[in-house]
Amino acid sequence: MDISADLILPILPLDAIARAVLLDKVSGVSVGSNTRIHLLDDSPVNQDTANAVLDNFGNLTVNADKIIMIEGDADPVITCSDPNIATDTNVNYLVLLDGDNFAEGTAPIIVGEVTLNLVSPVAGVYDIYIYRTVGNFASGSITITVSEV
Amino acid sequence: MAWTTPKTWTSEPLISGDLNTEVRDNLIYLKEALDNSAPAKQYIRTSGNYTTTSTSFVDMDDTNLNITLITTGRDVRVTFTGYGMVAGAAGELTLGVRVDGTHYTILKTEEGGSGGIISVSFSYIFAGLSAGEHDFKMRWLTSDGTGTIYAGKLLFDVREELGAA
Repeated sequence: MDISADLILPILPLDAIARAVLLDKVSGVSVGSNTRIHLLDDSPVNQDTANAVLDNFGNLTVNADKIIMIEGDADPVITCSDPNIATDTNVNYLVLLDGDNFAEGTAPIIVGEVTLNLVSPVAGVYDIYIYRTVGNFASGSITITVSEV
Repeated sequence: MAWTTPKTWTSEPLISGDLNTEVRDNLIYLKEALDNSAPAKQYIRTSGNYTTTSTSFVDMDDTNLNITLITTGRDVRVTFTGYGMVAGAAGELTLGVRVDGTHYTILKTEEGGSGGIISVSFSYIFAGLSAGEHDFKMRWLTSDGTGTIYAGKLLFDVREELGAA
């Protein structure tokens, strides 16, 4: 069964979120005329989860102390203190560099805020996604553009 | 409206029921066939690439790459032309067509080589389809990493073959 939304979402972060929260219950995602999550197990709870992932994509507010920088500048610091994550213990993150998977992992939430450091970024466009793996599975992102010296 | 094989008239009274069945209904059937069946339909995608991470077969585009054709019982040729890529180093794209709910795997690409452009074009004849309405859907999967098929030159064409019984 496909759970779809009539909008075009970026496939890599959506795939990461879907696989993180639905595990082997999902075969992947597709983006074309719309965006779809492909459920292998279409139980009601999995349908609800997939719908929540789509409905709350982009709903987390993510900030950074700089979004444009030059190689060699101080490392940018990314933060998220969105009320959605206030009671969570951690969130997952995904970093894309020029559209490709660059890094991913889990980060702790301390006093309602998660902090990520983008260490020694090279020239390129970094898209940093943060997403919940519980609750409403909300996600958000910020883009940091690094220019050559 | 169903097709009724015309009867062979003999010396008998001509009744309105026969006229309705043998003439009117069959003319309606033929008119509907002409209106609906021009035996070819196609979709050309000029923008909006398709991407998937699905490792099992899924519809490529349930709206646009989903053609219904009314055929007269001849073979049907399905043509798909395009090019794509797979992000994973050992990634392959596999394409298929679902005809009336039955899946047929048609094409499997070479490994994409982490972003190398690959052809995903094929032309395939489905024989043995009965006269009537048939649904043709493009489907695909990727074995490793995100699969992409580019718009712009993408064509999905379904047509009944003339002269092929």
